[in-house]
Amino acid sequence: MNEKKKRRVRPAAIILPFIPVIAGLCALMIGRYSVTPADLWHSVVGHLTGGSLPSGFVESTLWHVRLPRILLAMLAGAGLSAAGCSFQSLFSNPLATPDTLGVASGASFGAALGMLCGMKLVGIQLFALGFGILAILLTTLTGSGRAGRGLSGTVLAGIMIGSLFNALVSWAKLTADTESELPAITYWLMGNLGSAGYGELLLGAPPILIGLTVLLLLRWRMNLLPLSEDEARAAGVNLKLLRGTVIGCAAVMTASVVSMCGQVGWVGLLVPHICRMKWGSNQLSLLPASVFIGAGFLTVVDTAARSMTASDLPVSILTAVIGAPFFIYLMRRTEGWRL
Amino acid sequence: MNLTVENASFAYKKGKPVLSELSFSVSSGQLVAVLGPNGAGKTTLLRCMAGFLPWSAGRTLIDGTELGSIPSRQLWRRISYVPQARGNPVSLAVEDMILLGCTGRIGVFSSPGEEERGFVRSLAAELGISALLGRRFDELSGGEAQMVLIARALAAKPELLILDEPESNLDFKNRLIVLETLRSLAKGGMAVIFNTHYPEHALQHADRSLLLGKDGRALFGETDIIVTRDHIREAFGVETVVGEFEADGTRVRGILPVRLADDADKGEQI
Repeated sequence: MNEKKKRRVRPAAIILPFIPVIAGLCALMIGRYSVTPADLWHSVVGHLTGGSLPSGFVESTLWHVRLPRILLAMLAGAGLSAAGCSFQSLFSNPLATPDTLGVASGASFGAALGMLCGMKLVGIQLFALGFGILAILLTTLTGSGRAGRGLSGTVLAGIMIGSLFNALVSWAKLTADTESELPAITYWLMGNLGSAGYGELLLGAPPILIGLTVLLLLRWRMNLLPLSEDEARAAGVNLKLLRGTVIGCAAVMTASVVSMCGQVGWVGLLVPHICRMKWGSNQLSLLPASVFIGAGFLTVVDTAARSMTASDLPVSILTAVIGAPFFIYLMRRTEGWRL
Repeated sequence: MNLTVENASFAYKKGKPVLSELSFSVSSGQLVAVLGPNGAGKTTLLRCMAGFLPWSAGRTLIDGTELGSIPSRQLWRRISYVPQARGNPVSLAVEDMILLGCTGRIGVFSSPGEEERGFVRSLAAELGISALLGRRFDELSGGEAQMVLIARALAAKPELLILDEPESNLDFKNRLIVLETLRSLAKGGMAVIFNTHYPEHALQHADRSLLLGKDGRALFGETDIIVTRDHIREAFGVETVVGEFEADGTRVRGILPVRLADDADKGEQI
């Protein structure tokens, strides 16, 4: 290793927050019905000054169809990336994802159950959120055994609880009506941001925003998580409380994302790794970077998903199709993955 | 600062004590070695002493106060712990790794500022590892990593430093660097206690030694009285020769293994 000690004054810290903003602005104008920048400007100025507005169709496309969807994409991307990033540090495992503790599987079952019961969107959302939190409670209760064994027990319990709920989802599909319910469940499981309106956001955004805030505030301490238990405790930190808080925040965010838009795969694994390769493992910069890149990434991918084909493409397909090659490219160009 | 262990015992399973009825103490300015063969319970002893594991009987006192009754945030501002360096795959920059030692001093929701960073830089300069600051921790050699872990422990500004086999996987030079660092820390008024399975490290560097036997009992006192041929034979099952050499005007004491003691049970050595 040659000594290259550059004091990094980070332009990234200034640029990163603008990535989701720019992605969001572009996404407002892109779609099957394209809105010109002039229309967007006209509408924004109109709303701010109370002046004239563009046509009603442009108005409703911009503010009632696209904006809630973009906000959801940003929240979901940021939440999943932050959750994945936290779990990777917490379990010192590069394979950890937001679903490692079975939260997403639990939430999926909740949603499927809600659909089976013929509920409306908000009911499905509440069911998903409830079962996601039930899953994390089951995992932590069953997985926290004897002290000093680390978190492997929790991870194993998470995999078990996750597969349990996945089996229940299969059962729900089996009993579902093949004409209407089964396609709805299947489509929903692949992740779809199109169903969200402001109502769903009002219920789903607060858990994500609270989780993000707490994790971002704790981000320096999160650097202690990959260390051995004794080392972390010797730093004078209440390790149990720290781990519990991180697990709680990540789980609530994940459950809330799944409750709004189904299982959006890959983001929680890809984005943190891409950020680790680019900015290193210090959570001080890694976590904010993951949040902003995650928000931007999912906004871009979802915009592509809704404008590429006549019908909405499930976003999970595109996150993998776009994300995986990009990830492999980065892994080969940089020093490879790390924790 | 004084840490005293009183009549302390520990057993993972009932009836099978790993450590029994230990009493020893370490005070400011002292360098104390905990010496014993593999599996004698050296690491267990340090973990119990620092409160990571509860003693089955007995207690640890810090300046007369029982360790368990001190809030952990306050406790870890006074004592600091250096684990065995075992290829931990943490890819933090060395500077950040050392900064983690400051975590106990700053607020829960804050991150280290320029003051802490300056302190870490001067600490690194003192330990002679300034050149490592920009490197990544997982790319360091064993000796470098050990020095970084010591620096991280010192970043907490402790009065007592506890080290778990800080020199066991290092080469000659790095061993000396680590041991000399410990000695100069003790000279500067810190209380230092470390584990080792090299009797000569205790002999050459430590003021006092605790020699752990196989039955969980231990001898504690001035190193000269504890680290002797008879005691080593008993604890390690090895016949040794203790000698003194002169080189460049300084006297160096050494201890060399000669053969397994006659009554040594070879099965137990492995």
